[in-house]
Amino acid sequence: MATPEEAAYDKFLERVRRTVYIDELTPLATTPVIESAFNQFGTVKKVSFIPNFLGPKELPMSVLVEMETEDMAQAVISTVSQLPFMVAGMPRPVRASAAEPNMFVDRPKKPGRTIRFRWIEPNDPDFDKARRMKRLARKHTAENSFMLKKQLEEAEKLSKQQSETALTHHKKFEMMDKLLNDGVAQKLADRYSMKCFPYR
Amino acid sequence: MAFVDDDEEEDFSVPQSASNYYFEDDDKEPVSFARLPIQWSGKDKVDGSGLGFYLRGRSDNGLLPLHKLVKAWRFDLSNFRPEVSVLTKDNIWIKLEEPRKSYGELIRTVLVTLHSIQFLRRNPQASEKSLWEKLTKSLRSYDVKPSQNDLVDHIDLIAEAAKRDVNLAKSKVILAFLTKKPTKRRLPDDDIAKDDFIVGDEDTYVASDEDELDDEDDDFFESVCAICDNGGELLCCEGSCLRSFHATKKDGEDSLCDSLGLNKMQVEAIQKYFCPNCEHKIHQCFICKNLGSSDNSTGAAEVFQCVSATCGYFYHPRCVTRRLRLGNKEESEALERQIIAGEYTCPLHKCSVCENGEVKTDSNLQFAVCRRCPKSYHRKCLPREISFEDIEDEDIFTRAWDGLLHNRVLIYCQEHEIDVDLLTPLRDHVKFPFTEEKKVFMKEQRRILESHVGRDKARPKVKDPALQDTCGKASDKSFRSSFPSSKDGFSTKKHGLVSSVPDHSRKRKDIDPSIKHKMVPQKSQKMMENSREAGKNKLGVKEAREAGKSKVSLGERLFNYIQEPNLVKPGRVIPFDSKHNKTDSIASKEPGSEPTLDNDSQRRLLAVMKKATEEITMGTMLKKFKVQSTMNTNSTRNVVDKTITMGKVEGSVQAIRTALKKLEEGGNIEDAKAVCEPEVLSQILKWKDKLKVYLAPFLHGARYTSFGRHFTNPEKLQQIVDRLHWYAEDGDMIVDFCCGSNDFSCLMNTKLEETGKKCLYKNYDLFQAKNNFNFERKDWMTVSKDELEPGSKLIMGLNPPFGVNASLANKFITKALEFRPKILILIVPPETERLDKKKSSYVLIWEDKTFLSGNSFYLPGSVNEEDKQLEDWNIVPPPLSLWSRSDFAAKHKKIAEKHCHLSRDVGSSKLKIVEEEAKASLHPLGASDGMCDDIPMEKDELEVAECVHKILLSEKIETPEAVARVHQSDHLSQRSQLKREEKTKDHSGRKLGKSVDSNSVDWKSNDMEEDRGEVTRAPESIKVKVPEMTSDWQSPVRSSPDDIYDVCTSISNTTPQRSRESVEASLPAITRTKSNLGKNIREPDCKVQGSGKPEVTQNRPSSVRTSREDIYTVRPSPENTGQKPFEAFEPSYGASLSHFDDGLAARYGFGGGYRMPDPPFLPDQFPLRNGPNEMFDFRGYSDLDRGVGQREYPQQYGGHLDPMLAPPPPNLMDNAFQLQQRYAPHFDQMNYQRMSSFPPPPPMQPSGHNLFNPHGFPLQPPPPSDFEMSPRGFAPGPNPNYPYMSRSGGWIND
Repeated sequence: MATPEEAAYDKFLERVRRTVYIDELTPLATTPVIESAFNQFGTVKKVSFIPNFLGPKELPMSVLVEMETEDMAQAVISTVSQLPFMVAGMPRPVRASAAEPNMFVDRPKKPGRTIRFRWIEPNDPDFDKARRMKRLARKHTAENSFMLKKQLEEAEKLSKQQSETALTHHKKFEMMDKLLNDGVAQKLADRYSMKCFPYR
Repeated sequence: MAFVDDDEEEDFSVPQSASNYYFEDDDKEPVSFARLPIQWSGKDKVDGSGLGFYLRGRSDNGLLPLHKLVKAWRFDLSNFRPEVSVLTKDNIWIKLEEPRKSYGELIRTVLVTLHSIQFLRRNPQASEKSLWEKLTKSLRSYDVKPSQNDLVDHIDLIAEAAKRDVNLAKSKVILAFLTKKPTKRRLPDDDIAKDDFIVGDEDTYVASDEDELDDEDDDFFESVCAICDNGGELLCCEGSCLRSFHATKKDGEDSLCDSLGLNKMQVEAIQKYFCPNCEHKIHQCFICKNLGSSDNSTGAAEVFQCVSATCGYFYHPRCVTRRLRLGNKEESEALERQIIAGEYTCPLHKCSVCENGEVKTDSNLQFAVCRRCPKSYHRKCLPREISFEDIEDEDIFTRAWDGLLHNRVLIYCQEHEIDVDLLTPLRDHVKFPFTEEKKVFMKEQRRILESHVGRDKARPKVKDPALQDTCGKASDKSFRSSFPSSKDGFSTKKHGLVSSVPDHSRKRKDIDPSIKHKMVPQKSQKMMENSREAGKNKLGVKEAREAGKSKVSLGERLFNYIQEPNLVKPGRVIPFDSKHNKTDSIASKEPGSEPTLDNDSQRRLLAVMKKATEEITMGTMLKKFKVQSTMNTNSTRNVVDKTITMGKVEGSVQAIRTALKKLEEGGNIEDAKAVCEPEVLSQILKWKDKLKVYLAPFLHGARYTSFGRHFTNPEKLQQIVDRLHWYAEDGDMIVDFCCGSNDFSCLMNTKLEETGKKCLYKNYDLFQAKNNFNFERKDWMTVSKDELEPGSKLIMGLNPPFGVNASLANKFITKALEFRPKILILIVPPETERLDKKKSSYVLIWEDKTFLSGNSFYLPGSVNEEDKQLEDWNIVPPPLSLWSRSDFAAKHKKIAEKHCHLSRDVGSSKLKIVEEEAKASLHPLGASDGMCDDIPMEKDELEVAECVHKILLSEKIETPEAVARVHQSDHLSQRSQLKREEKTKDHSGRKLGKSVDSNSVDWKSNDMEEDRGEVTRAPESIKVKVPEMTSDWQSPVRSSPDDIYDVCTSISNTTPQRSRESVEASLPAITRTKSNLGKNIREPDCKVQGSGKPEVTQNRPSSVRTSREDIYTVRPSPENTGQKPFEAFEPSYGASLSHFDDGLAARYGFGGGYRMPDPPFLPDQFPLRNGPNEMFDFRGYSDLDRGVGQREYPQQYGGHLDPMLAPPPPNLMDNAFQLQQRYAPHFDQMNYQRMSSFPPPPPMQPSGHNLFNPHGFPLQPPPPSDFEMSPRGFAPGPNPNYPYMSRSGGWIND
């Protein structure tokens, strides 16, 4: 006998199972981009971004993609985790994992769960615990932001390195292309009577 | 869990065990423990001082990480299985359990040997056969069957064991083995049994031509170390010296090479290596060996490089002239000037005997080059004293080596004395600048390092002291925070303040005055450090592991704590500890202040991060992602990275230019070849192709989405189905080996059910298909025969990935042929190996080259700016072909005839007609007639034509304004500021293409009426729109679909400031549309004549007008149907012209049917210029190849008036296409993609404005004000400051 509340929650859980959590997504991705990216594996029903309220906005985004069936969600996860899957043309693959209820902003209340509030006096035995928890939370924030900072630094370093490599290669490429395009190579090949010179 | 103390508390007599272990040497290379000295019995002690490897792994049932230096090993055969133990530096025996999976292969032979010894010792009478049977059983976990080959490596071990063990010595097998002294032999049965499949598909198809090309890639350049002249693993200098070096001592140990003295870590960290010479641009003169500046930017260079492409030597001009002993002064001065001008080939390129050049292809005329001075000989001229082998009688040392250099002999000429030890001359010939200071510096560094090492000798792999520090602290910290329940919790308090490293040992002593210390007081210090170290490492790892869940676990614990306060005993350390910890780390913090971490926490986090990074290596990633059949394991990436150095490229390019210059100045071909060998030319091409592959994702960045798949349009599929279903019979099985979205078999199913046939279906793809209809997610290459029906019931095929040069397509087809299906229906590129050329007997029933032209494909998972599915069309459409097994051929031929499928065949008359039409439309007189007859909407046109004359005049007046506007628009778009001139030029040039184009468009529309249902939706749009627009004549093809309009508006919306202006323009624009069209068609005489003559340039303003008109025509059309306000168009036009063009052209190349004029500086690969002939040829060609071509090219590559370029002969154009356009590069082959259906990859413009035309890219919004198209111009994508992708597809743009 499920109360309406429980039924709603079950329905929600079913939705959770159909949903894939996508991580490491470029901040440039938009709903249609994601929709069409995942539409190849099944039917996307809904795309909801998990907003990043506090961090810098160039952080990778995460998004919840709700598929039509559970199987499709599974297929997405297995495909994306097996092969590097790029979304929006960024040279960094996204990550996919099964969604969890906590990820949903609009999740219904868990049946039977109530949240109570109360003030705690300084002489309350729980006061110390509460304070500790507060500290802990703050510490986590601090740790988090520190890690993020480092991570971004790393990412930047890496991207610099990569772009430098790409640039040099491109420079070489250009140089050769120019050579081939202004016909010098061709003319020389003609002089050498290289018959199968493959350009033009 | 008192794991910190594990090591200390360990009793020595109880051997530890290690599982998941592996050994590595100083360079972190895994090594076999068998290379350690073996300890046979307890008595003889091994001197383990020399060699030492690190044992890594986990001890204590996998709980703790191990990192120990070991010096010896032993084995024990008394148990069920042979047991191997290793001796650590501090004399602890550690038993080895299971090796790490990847390491297992390395020590397999040892284990096989040990197993054999054990078996034979127990069964001395056993035969060889029974031995291998037994071993195969007990070593089943390995992929490779044990064989005698495995024993060969360890013959010494076996001999030694036989000596020491009487039982073993009795064994027949052993005796036979030892006396025979066998060598490795190939075991054919084994290899084939195991590798059949893999060998089959790797070798036959993939490693065809391409890979062969790659192999001999860089051999024109030095492939030996500049220091020791030996090969091996080399590090190439990126600079102009073209040298390579042994980077580490180890790489060069064979030749006693001094090497660069780097270590492995450093080498890996190097992205681009510049040797000190190239770095400082101070090179050595190859003659006098003195250093001199080679930096000629200031004109102060002292040494000059030989211009030859493959020669990296520098010379003082004076040294050269002196060496050549030129008689008169003028001559030598002239030579010096030549050297300084950089047009000089050094004496190395002339045989010192006969003074002739080198011919690499003729072995007698190959060169033997001295490595110490510029002296060379032909092979035939080589003096006897320079010998390939020692001739002891005459006291001749080997001075020549074959095979080290590509097609050359490496020699040391007689001027250099051979050092007896080195077997080469003394190696004092390489001088780096600033080495003196450097040496001092290095010494200093080494001293510092040594002092570190000295302090903690047992510390393995001290990379940097800081890390060490971190680890230590981290462990302390984590110890307290994450494992507060540890039993020596009391000690943590003492740790309250974390000390620096050296203190640790002291502290530990204080804390743990354990028994061991007393037992081994002498060694205790060292021991302690050692075990301490191990402990630290363990902690580090633990920490890393823990880090993931630490938040949860801490939080949970606290939660538990709060929930069940009773459970937490007051005596427990947890709360205090964690509290203590926290107060530590954020002690200074006041509420509200920005949270910062103290140093300890930071260090701990850094250690965690470091650990995490270390865990991710290339190896682990490769293991994680399984390799698909469509991926080429032979990655070209690394090759690209390291061997194509800047210096080589620059040198080659320079050499090619110089060579040509020499020839043009009347030099002889010999000289030119000395400068630039013909091979260099082909080399350049190979390089370029490689780089193109490598750079593909940057060039095509924005398109690089979702496995790069290309699906066939459902409409096209429907048409295929309409044809194919006639061939299907009841009970057939339809197999789509690469089904993509799985539309094909669904459509087929519907169709066949309609016609009352029942068929089976099978669909395979690597990726989950959207539609699950009979879908199996499986690699086609792994499908086996019993999964499918017998061949006579199989209908197979469709659109496989193409791969570079159709390699993948070939693979798929070959696999398909294994099933011997009765029908193969294929969409593959034309260069796919044809089935009738294969062994199998298949007959082509029909082939349709134009069927898939135009907008036949789409890119799944990619959207354009309008968030619509990206469509894709091929420059050269892949033909659709139907092949029958020979025994079915006759039957299918009949069906084909009956349903007129044959009439669409290759090279059919239809195409010829196309060609003729194309010709006709270009001939002034013929064209007008032809057009009138052909075009269905003549009546409308006639009216339009009347307008033309009237408007023509007004238009002439307007043109200057138009030009101005073009300029203005340029300005707006900001990307062409520099190229304004060019743009106008383009416009004028384009007119040629334009006029021709509109003709052909119209003609095409007629043509399309024939297969209206089939071709595209363009004809459909005629039906829909023409009636609505009676007043407003429209070319059917131009009646662009609504989305074009959407595109326009979206763009325009972003530049609304000019909207008013556009309103004014809009009215005339419509009329002009008509007029212009009409003009093009009605008055081909004037147009085509104009295009044929130099008048073009005078005509320029009006032609600009024309092209603009053409743009208008697209725009008003939807407007007239009343969808959106027209104003939007005009402003958008200016600002976004180029964008609009790119994307729109790409997407609506056929469906929209209308091509915008080029983006202003669209790189023009096939510059077609004045003169209708070329253009016509071109058209003819493209017509042959694809239906859409003739519309496409003239516009896109149409009338560029680029004086720099010679028109490419049309027949060669084909080649150009193959190479450049269709088979756009593959990047990493990780993607399941078919590049060939990409729109043209970026062609380059010789002038250097290499705009990579991003066809098919999502449309970009008009450039924001700060948007700059770099001259290199990659995808005009937004350049977000996103470190993760770092400027997206346009990396290179930044």
